[in-house]
Amino acid sequence: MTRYAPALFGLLTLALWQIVVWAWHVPPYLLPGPVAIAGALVSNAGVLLHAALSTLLVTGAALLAASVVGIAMALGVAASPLARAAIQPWAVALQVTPVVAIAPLIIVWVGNPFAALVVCAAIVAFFPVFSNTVAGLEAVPPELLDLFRLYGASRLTVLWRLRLPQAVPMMLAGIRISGGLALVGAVVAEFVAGSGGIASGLAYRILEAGYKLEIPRMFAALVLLAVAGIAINAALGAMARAVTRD
Amino acid sequence: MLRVAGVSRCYPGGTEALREVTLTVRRGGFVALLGPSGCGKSTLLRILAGLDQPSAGRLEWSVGAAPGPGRIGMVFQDPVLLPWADARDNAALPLRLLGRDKRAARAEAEAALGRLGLSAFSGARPRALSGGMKMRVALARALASRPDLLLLDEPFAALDEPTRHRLQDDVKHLQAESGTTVVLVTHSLYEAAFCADTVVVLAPRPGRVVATLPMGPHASRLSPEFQRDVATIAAAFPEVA
Repeated sequence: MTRYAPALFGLLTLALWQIVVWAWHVPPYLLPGPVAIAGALVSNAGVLLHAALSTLLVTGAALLAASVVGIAMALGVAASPLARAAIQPWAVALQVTPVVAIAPLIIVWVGNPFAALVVCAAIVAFFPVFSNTVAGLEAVPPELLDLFRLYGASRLTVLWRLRLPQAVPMMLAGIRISGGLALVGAVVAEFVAGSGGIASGLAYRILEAGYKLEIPRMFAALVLLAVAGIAINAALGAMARAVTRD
Repeated sequence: MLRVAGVSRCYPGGTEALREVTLTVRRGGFVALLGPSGCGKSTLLRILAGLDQPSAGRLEWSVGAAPGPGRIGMVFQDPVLLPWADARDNAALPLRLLGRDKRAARAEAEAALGRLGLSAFSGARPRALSGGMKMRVALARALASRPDLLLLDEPFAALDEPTRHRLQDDVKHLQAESGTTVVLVTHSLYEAAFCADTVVVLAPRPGRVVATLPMGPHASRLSPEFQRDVATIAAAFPEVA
């Protein structure tokens, strides 16, 4: 029963939604029903799937960049207290920087639209993978540190043979959170870029449909976005299980 | 093997963990450091391991200098195995840290696991092992480098009684076989009396030696000699407020 619960709940909600739209004759520009959205999804499949692919490319590149930079910086922070003192506050500053505010500037600075979107999304995705990896690197039982010292292990050996493998589960959990944020970041950046004329991803299609009052098409794009989010989460979860399984 | 000469340890902030502790550890001997919690016995063990430095006093090693890496083995109250490595690679860890190549280290580790009756489990991850088996792997890890001195920090405290007794027997046999010197920290009178040939009783706050008692060899936990030795320790055991 638990296995089918999400699908059943979804179907029930959709049915209720459709009934409300029919019963009260809600106009589609206010709230389209699921049937109208499905119709829009089918009739715009080519354009929307192309847009979804573009958004997923930005998301994937941003997640990769955020993971590589986040893990590298976490290793630096774990290896040296000086690096820690220098980096930690700036990482927090980056976390609370609203990407909407700086996205237009980044798009101007970077020039290449794809790279600019990746930079914006990576900024949003960076913090969880960084902070989770730092926490994982530091969550080492003190007895194991003593044991490594007892056999004369260097700091680098401790980092490589103890802290890093110890951090893997938390690192993967961080990457999973960052995956969702990379998608959000990509969409936000596309919104900013889209209003500047760069036509590519799902966010641009959402904006465009909104301007034209084609609300079912807008919802169809939102559906694809939700599907992309669920797929990213599931893929990263499967990756974490594959890496940490016995 | 080693003389602890007037060792004191004060922490910044004024806590005095040890005050002028003096004791001798004979080569091939089995010394139990016994005392209630807060008597600094774990601190003393960490000083013996070179993981902490005394504030005053010193360690006088019979060979002149402190033993190098790999000459001292240590087992903690928690087995602290690497969860991502199997029993063999856990036992091989010290040898790998000492720079031994993988194959030689694994062969030594297999031998150490065999001495603790764990040959059949060398490929098992820690999560698949019982508490007693994990502790055996930790013992095999400490013995893998064939140390001259084995330091045990309340290793059996968290185990159930039958497992604890079996591991005490095993440690006694391994020690008799290999001639390794053992220092065991414990708060159990029975464990100290059964395992050790010398029991050093410590009193808390600050940690100091109140008695050094020789123990007879005990083949059984039921013999009258064993009961007498337990009574001797109990008489010297400090009152705990």
